[in-house]
Order: sequence, then C-alpha cells, then structure tokens
Amino acid sequence: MGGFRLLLVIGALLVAAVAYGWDGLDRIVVALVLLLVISWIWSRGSLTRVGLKRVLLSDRVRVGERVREEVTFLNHSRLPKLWVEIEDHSTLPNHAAGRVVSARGRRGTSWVVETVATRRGKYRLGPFTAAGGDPVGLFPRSVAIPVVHDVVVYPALVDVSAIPLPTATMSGGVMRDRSLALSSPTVSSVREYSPGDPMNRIAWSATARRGTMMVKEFDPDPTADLWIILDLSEDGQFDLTDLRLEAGADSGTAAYLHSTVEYIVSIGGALAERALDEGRKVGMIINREMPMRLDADNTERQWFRIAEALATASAFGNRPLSAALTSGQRRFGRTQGVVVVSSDPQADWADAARSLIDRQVSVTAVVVDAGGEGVDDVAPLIERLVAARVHVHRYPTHTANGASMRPAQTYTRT
Amino acid sequence: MMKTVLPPTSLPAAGADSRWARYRARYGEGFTVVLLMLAYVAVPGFAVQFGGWRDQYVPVGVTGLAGAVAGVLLAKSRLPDAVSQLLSVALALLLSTALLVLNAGQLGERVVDRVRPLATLIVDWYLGRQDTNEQELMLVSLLLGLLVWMFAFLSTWTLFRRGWLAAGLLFPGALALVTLRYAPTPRAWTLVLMLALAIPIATRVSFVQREQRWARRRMASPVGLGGRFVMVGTAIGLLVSLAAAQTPEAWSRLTFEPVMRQIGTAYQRASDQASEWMGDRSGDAGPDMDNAGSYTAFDDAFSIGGPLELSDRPEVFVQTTAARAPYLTAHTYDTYTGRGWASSTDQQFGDVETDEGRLSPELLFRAGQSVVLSGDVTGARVAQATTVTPLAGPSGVVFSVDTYLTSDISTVVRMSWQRLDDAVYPVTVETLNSLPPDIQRIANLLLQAELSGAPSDWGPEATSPNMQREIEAEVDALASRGILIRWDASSEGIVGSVYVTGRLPVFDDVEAVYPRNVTEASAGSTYTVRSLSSTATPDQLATASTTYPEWVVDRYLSPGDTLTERTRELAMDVVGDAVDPYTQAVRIEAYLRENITYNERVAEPPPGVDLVDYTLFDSKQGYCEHYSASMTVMMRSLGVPARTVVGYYPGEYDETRGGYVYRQLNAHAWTEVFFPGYGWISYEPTASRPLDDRDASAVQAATEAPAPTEAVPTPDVADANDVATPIAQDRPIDNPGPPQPVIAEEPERNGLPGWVVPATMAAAAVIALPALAWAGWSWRFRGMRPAEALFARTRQVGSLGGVRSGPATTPREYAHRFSEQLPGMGPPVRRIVQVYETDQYGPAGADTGSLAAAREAWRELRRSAIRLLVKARRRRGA
Repeated sequence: MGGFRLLLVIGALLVAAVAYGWDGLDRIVVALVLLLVISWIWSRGSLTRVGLKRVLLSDRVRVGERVREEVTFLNHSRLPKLWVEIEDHSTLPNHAAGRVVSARGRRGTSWVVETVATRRGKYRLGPFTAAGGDPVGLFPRSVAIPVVHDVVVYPALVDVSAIPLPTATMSGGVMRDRSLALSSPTVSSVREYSPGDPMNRIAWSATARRGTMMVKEFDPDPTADLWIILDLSEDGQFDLTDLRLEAGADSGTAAYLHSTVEYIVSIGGALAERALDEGRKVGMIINREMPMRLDADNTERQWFRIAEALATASAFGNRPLSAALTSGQRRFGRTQGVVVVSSDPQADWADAARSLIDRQVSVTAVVVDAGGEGVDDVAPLIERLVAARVHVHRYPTHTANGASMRPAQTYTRT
Repeated sequence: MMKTVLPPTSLPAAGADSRWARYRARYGEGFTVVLLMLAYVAVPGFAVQFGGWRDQYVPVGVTGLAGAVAGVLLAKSRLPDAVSQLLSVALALLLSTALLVLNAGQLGERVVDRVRPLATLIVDWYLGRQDTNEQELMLVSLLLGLLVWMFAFLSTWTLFRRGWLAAGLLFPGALALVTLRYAPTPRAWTLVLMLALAIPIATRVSFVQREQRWARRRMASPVGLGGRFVMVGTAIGLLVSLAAAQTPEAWSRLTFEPVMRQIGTAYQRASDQASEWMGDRSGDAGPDMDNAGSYTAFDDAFSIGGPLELSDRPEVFVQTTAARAPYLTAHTYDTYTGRGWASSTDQQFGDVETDEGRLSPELLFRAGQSVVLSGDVTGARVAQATTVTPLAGPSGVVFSVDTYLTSDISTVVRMSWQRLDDAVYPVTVETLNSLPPDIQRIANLLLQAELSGAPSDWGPEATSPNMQREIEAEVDALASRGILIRWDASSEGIVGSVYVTGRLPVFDDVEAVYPRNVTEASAGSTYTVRSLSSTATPDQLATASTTYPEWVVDRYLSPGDTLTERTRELAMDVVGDAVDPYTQAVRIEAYLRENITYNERVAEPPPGVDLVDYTLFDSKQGYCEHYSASMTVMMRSLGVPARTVVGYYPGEYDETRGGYVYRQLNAHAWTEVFFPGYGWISYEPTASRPLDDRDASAVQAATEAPAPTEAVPTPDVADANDVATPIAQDRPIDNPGPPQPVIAEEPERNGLPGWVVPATMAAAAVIALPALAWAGWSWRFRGMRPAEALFARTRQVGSLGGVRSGPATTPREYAHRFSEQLPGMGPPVRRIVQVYETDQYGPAGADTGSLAAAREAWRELRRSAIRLLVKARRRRGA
C-alpha cells in the first residue's frame, strides 16, 4: 500500500471516528498518521547527499574477456542509510553492477564488477538509478545518477592458423612508364622521370650519375594487399543456438559463437589480425545488402578500424557473393590476395572466383560449415570451388564444450 | 571519508539441497514474519475470548491461533486454493465442535455423551425448531469460534499465499476493532499490541518483497539487512503504539466536530438558500414537501398514497412496564397539505443567528434530562418506562410512548416555538411557576434582587453586586439562545414585569426526538424512554375544557386550504348532536372504521383533488395514512385540535426475549386529539387495527394497567410545576443550564450527523475527479496491446514535456530524443521502448517478465514526470 492510499484510509477512518465516536478508530488514526509522517521523513532522507562514482578499468575487450569496473557509493550525509538500491541500466549483457548497499554517515562503499563479455558490440555502462524509501514501503523514492561509459566488445579470437593466407603471383618486375598509386619497399630498378611521378620516388643518386631525372621503380610486393570478404547476407546464415549449451566459464571462445555470423566475423577479424601482424596491407569488404568496405592499409590503426567495424557488423539483407567479387574486380589485381569467408552453401559465386583466378588473383575460400544433421551441405560448394582452383578451407563450427562438429580440412586442386 | 570495499558482485548462490534450505526457500517471508503474524492474529482472538461475553463454550482464542497456524501451513502447501479453503472450513468445524463438546458440560457427563445432544441441537437449529437460550448460546459460541478461525485463517493465508499484506493485517484488525467496540469489557491494549506487531510485520514483508526484486535484478545485498529492517520496524512500531496508547479518548470528535459542524452549517445554509430559490421559482411557499417520502421514513414531511411495500423485517425490540404493547411514536405533524403531512416548525422558527451560528428548532437534552411539561398536558397520566432496542441499523429517531418525557441517552428534541415581540410577563411569586420555563430563572433572580441600582439597557440594576453579576450572566445566557430580556421595577426596587423578545420553546409540543449520538440508537444498542401515558376516563375527557392554549390554536386547528365543504358537512353530520370533542372524536373514529375500506393498493386522487375529500367520497378506501388524515381533518373542520402521528402499532410478543418485536409492517399512522389539561389522546380510525389495541396509556389503561409506575420515578412534571425558590437549585432544567439550542444542522435523524453529507460529497468529488481524469486518460489507450499502450503513454508524457516526433521517427530515435530533452527520464523510457520493440517486431512478442519490467519503468517514468511537473510549477510560482 502506498502512502497516498494510506492517506485515503486514514481519511476514511477519521470520518468514521468523528461520526461514530469510536475510540479504537481514534487510536488507529493517530498511529497511522504518525507512521505516515515517520515514513515520509525517512523516505525524504534516504537519498539525500548521496553520490556514485564508476571507474572503467578496460573499455575495449574481446568476446570472452572480462569487462572490469569499480563502483563507489558515497554517503556525504551524517545520517546513515539503512539501504540504498543501486540499479544499473547498462546495456552490456550480464553486467550486474547494481547492488544494495548500507552506509554509515559520511562513509563510502565500493565494489568491483567483472563481467565476461559474451557478445561483440558497442555497449553503454550506466546510468544508475539510486532507489530508497522508508522501511514500510509507503514512499518509494529514486533518483537517476547519469554516470555513463562506453565499452566496445571486439569479436572473439578464433584459431585461423590452419588457414593459409593467399600470396600474390609475381613472375618478375615489369618496367612501366606510368606512375604507381602504391609503393612497395622493394626497389627493382630506376627509370627516367615521367611527368606526374611523385617527388619522393626520385632516385637522387642515379639522377646525379646520369645527369637526368631518374625515378625508382618498385617491385610489387607478393604478400601485400590481402582483401577479406565476409559474406553476411542473411540467407546464408545459421543460428547455432540449438547446437550448444549455455556458455560456460570453461567452454572457451567457442561458447560465444552462437551463429555463423559470429564465426564469419571472428574468422575475418582473426585473419585480419594475423595479416597485419605479418606487415601486410589488409582491406575488408562486408558483403550484405548495404555492403561496407575498408580500404587496405597496414598501419596499426587499421586493426582498430577493422575491429570497430566487426564489433557491430551484422547480417542484413541479401547480396550475392558473386556481386562482391565482380564489383571488386578492378580492385583485385595479381598483387592482391582475396579471402572469402562464407557459410552459404550456394555455389553460384564459384564462377566469379574462377574469373578472378583467371586474372591471376589468388583466392582462398573459408567455408564455415554449420554442421547439418548428417548431411554435408557445403560439400558441393567446396567441390565447385576446388574445381575453380580456389584454395578452400572448411572451418567447422563447434559445440559449447569446444568440440568440433566436423574436422577442419583444406582442399587444393592438384 | 572512509570507504569500505565490498567483495565483487556475485549472484546469489543456488540453495543447498537440504531440507532446512528448502523450508527457508518456501518461507521466503522469513520465520520472523510467521511468528509475528501468529502473535498478531492470536491477539484479537484472545481479546474476544476475554472480552467479557458470558457463556463462551468455545475458547475462540485457541481457534484463532489454530486457524492462523492452519493458514500458514496451507498457504505454503501445494494444495490448490479451493482445496485449501475447504480443508480450512473442515478443520474449523472439527476443532470448534470438539472444543464445544469438551466445554458443554450440561449436554452430558461424559464427553462421548455430549455428541448426540449437540448433533440434535444443530439439526433443530437448522430446521428452525425452538431452542432454549442456553442451547442458542452454544450455537452462537460455535459460530463465533468458526468466525474467529476464518478471520485468522484468511489473514495468514492471504499473506503467505498471495503476499497481500494489507488483507493479512486487515482481518484481525477489524476483529479487534469490533471487539473493542462491543465487548462488555473491552481491552484497549490489544489494539496497541497489534499495532506494535503490525509494523514490524509490514517492514519485514516490505523487505522480503524488495529482496525478491533485487534477486530478479541480480543485485547483491548486505548480509543481515533483513534483521536490521525488523529492528527498525520494531522501533517504529513501539513508537507508534505508544502514541496510540496515549491518545485521549474521543480525540477526533473533540478536535474535528466543531469544524465539521461549521461545514454542516455552511452546507445547510447553502441548501436552504437553494431550496428558497427553488421555492421562489415554483411559487411554493408552504412547508417543505419536496423531499416528502413515505411516512415510514419518520421525516419532517410525508406524502400520502402509493402502494405499501412493508416487509416483516424486525425493526425494534421493546420491553415495557405496561401490560400491553404500546404504540411507538416517532413523529407528529401539524400541517395538512392536501396530499400529505408536514411540520411547520422550521418555517415558524425562521432564521435565528447568534454568535455561535444559526439556531434550529431543536434542543439538546442530556441523558436523563426531562422535558418540562405544563399542566395543559399532564393531567391523568402515569409515567411509563419503555426500553427500546433497535434491531436494524440506526433508526434515526428515539421512539417514545404517548407524551415524551425523558430518555437515558442524550437527545435532540424537536418542538414548536412561540415568537415573542416584547411580550409582557408580570413577575410575582404567584406567577413565577406559570412563566415560560426559560425565563423562570431570570424572573426568580429579579424577584430576589433589589432593583434600585443604575438603569441599564435591560432595566434597573441590582444593588447587590453579586446578584447583579448573576442577573447579567443569565441575561447573556438567554441572549446566546436568541432570547432578549428587559424589565421594569417599582420605586422600591421590586420587579414589575419582564419583557421578552425572541423565540421560546413550547415544551408541551414535542414533535420528534432524535438521538444525539446516532450509535446510541443503532442496532445492538438499547435506550430507555420515560413517557407519560394517559389514564383519563371518557367522562374526564368528555368534560374537558375547550379553551385551548395558544400554541394549540396556532398549529393544530387548521384543516388546510384544500378542505372541501362536503368534508366539513360530513364531519358535522357524523358527530350529529355531540357537542363535546371526545364524543365527536369517538363518532368520527367509528364512522371511518365502518365506512372506509382498508386497502393497501388504493389509487392516487386526480391532480388538484384533496386527498381527504377523495378518500371520503370517491375511493372510500385506503390505509392508515388515509384514515388518519381523514379523522384529523374532520376533527379540525369541527374546531377540535388534532394531529397525525406516525410510528409503530403494537408488535407481537416474543416469549424467548421477554418483549415485543416491532417489524417494518408495524409502521402506522394514527390521530391524536387535544384535550386541555389531559394533553393528546390517541384514536385509532384505521379499520384493520383492533379498537381496543389503542395505546395502553389510553382510556382503558386506567383500569387494565394501573400499576406500571412503581418502578418509574416521579415525572419531572411535578418538579417543573413546583418550581420554588430558590429556583437556581430547582430550575426546570438541571445544572449547568437549560437544554441547549441546536446549531442549525440536520440532527442525527437520518442516522448520520449533518456534516456527513457535505463531507461525503467532498470526498466523493475528491475520488471521482481523479477517477474521471484517469478514465479519460486511459480511454485513448483502449484496445492496445500492453506494450503498445505503455509506449503510447510514454509518448503522451513526452508530448507534455515537449519531446517531438514525426511520422518517420522510430521508437529508438524517440527514446533517444526523450533522453536528450528529459535526461532524468531516459532509462525508463529506453526500457519501455525496448519492450515495445520486442513486442511489436519480435517473433514472439514481449514475455510476461518484460512486460512487468516495462510497467515498472512506466511507474518510474510517471513519478519522474510528476516530480518534474511540480518542480516546473514551483519555478513558475517563484
């Protein structure tokens, strides 16, 4: 019963007491009025001069890692607080920073909250609501405390060591009298200056020797320009929730991969990280109805760009994978390697892949095997890709305890 | 500031799989609540048991405690509700019957021998066979045991099964209140003890409900917090119960009644003013017939006619010293309107304003204080005591028998008043007793004083300062009642005459008596009325004087404007050669009984036709109202004062109770005729009533019931007539003063004080307006899914706060804008929107838990919105 209702009851009892001169009612009215007054005063004092502070100890984590923060409740009042209910409105799944605290006068209380990040994404920690009131519950009271932090959860780190990264085919340098959009660290020769050549390509020593302006000619790097294409069309995705149990603490990263989307994103992230570690330029195309492209780069920031993009990437609409390969044809030369990560058993993109290969583009396909019930759904796709000379790696999904649904396997046309 | 570091947040561990842990989980309220509730529920049971009622065969304290235990156990069992309730009833019957068998020694020596008589007793009761009082008491005791069990059971069951704290506390509380009110030896400390127990219970239950919410939200709480809640609750409980224990008796009435009285007065004024306006418009300047209902309402007016719909519901139980059941008088009327009867007292009294408010034509009489009757109405009468027990709710009136004298409860007596404008009353020792009672005291003081002092506004002052002070005090007291006095004196300082201006009550003309406190005349209470019943013989009445007092002439001789000539002629024909009023009355009575057929379904007279004329000449049928009106009008047409009286005709005798039961169908109207010196004498013109059933105080009373008076004190009439010096000690009305005028409010005639009506109306408005506003607000959300309705409400709040949205705004965008514009309300809005999105766009809609969370968020949003509104108004006000 709330305070207002109790007030109505008191009014009715008072009317009855006055009308009928009922002594017992008089006593109850006095008692209830006193209770009402005490409760109201208590309620008003329950949240006066309180504060909250939260310190986020890590604001970027991977799925499976822990988000840590320290929350401090401060009672600036001299009066103790019997209880204050701190409710946290964070959007991070399973993040329970709220708790009920008691505090003596002019004391503070702090606690550390650790939450295992189970889903990638951008999340908000906070705000808090502090709720108090009187012990009888007549006058509940709450105040919003807008202490907010953002945290980004990157995709889980999966094992991609078995997946061979494609290298570009380079059969020797070719002198070209046109400017290069991109350079490589390998200088193969010098040539005469052509208008439009950048100043930083001028070979000053050769110019001095020859007496004419000479520029350096670079060999294309056979390991550069890895493009990762992630197929996030909705039609090719599978929900794997039924295949796994609740994510347990000891079940490893696989416990958090509850759909082929997560597999694709995680594999993409892991491949990008590995390539960047090797010093290669990495570009990424997320293929879906509204595709997203990150141009190739090998700087440290590229990893963060990719990770941020992957943190929020989701399947949306449908776009044929062949379209992604075809529209990117101009971008993919023989100096680029392409990795396609998909779980779609449809094999209609095999021809597009063959077309790239025919243009000396090295193509690798990572086929995420959702593990159908006794039927190898992706076998026809793998067969066609292999026939098209695509290096294929079957990436099996896992159960929650980390066991592989099928063995991983790499297929190459011999 | 020091800081305590708590361990990291962790979810409550799953309960250990021990039996103790399972019990703990089942009794989530905690064993403290169980123990406190058992104590709380046991208190009223034992209060009933030790409340002083005699012949309790079933110790209801035990049944109450057992019921409470059963409630706790069954509430936590897995039995369905209906099965639990049935089991409870069975257990209650078993236990109460067993206790009755154990304690009812008079049913048999051995316990086994008592079973069969008890079964027979119950069967007899069921079949409606007559039981002795003792047997009836056993059954009552059995039922009381069952009742207390049910109260206790429902209390604990509702709390522990449903979590309804208010209901759990209410049942025993109500039982304790009723016990405190009606127990012969009430124990106020039981209520105080219950208060001291109730608050820790409320605190603990409140904590448990919070704890459950915290668990749902995965919020850890400090260890031992529940214990601290109980300690705080106990402290508050002790404080509150201490305050309750120290509360003065009748505190609320003493504090608020003056205020309420003021409200009632204001309401009455407004009501009168409205009536006046309405009366002016309709041109109705006569007595108030607007609200005239049935005569059974015993109101200030009633309309004659309409089918009688009277039930056999017992209304009043009467024990009397008379030899036969009396007529019970409720109200008398002086004005015939052509269609009914009304009282002209209000009209006659008019508006009298004093410093304390407007006066009404009623006087307050303390318990035992007598109406001062003159010799005009007290001849050949004996005092008679009648004990009246209302049986069906507040009756609103105090019933009297014949001429009302006094009652053992405080009353409000309505009577006629005479208006005086500088009326002269010679003051001598001889005329002192014949003066109106209200001025006898001032006259006596003036007689004793030597009035040779300085002239004042009222007359020459007394030479003795003490006497002068007494005179001034009395003059002031009279002025406060609207009576202004002045006097003259001879040159020797002897008072000559007093001159009176104002209104004086006519004590001989009591119209109705109401209880001062309605509960004293409500069902279950009993009051005793002393009255004067006539023992005048026909000879005495036949030879009575026909010189009538002024108030009788003023009020009881008018046959009304609608009197037809043929009615007057009929009356003259009927009385024939009879010249004395008594014989005339007897002949008219006989004529009506013989010539008018009794019929309770009589047709209404055509519009504009006088009812008496229609009854006598056209329909020639009717019921008591028609008979009574006909006789009264016919008597008045002959110049004999008469009036119509309503009340009850004699009820049947109930041997088991030793008294008379008056039922609703006993409601009756009859005629009284005035005989100077003998007062009002009743007549029974209604053909369906036996003639010899007339009031026991009537003519036959002199011969048939001569000795009911030995237990009755000498009537105060004698005291009033024997007023002697010093009148200060023997004034007609006991110290501290005469009956006090009633401030103009509706007396408790309708069962409630006058202020209750406006207070109820105000309360109804206070409740109805928000209810209407709520209904209007909710109307626009009808037919929506719960989540949709919550989102729509949120948008309404947002629009009030200036949050704008277009047709293309998504719920999430709207929540974002809401949070930006009204930051404090952001979290609940986001929660509502989240549930709305799930419900609207998700495959399965929002689940129950999500909806509950959304509702909680809505409540939070609503509170925030109200706070914001209040703050905005304050800022605007500043």
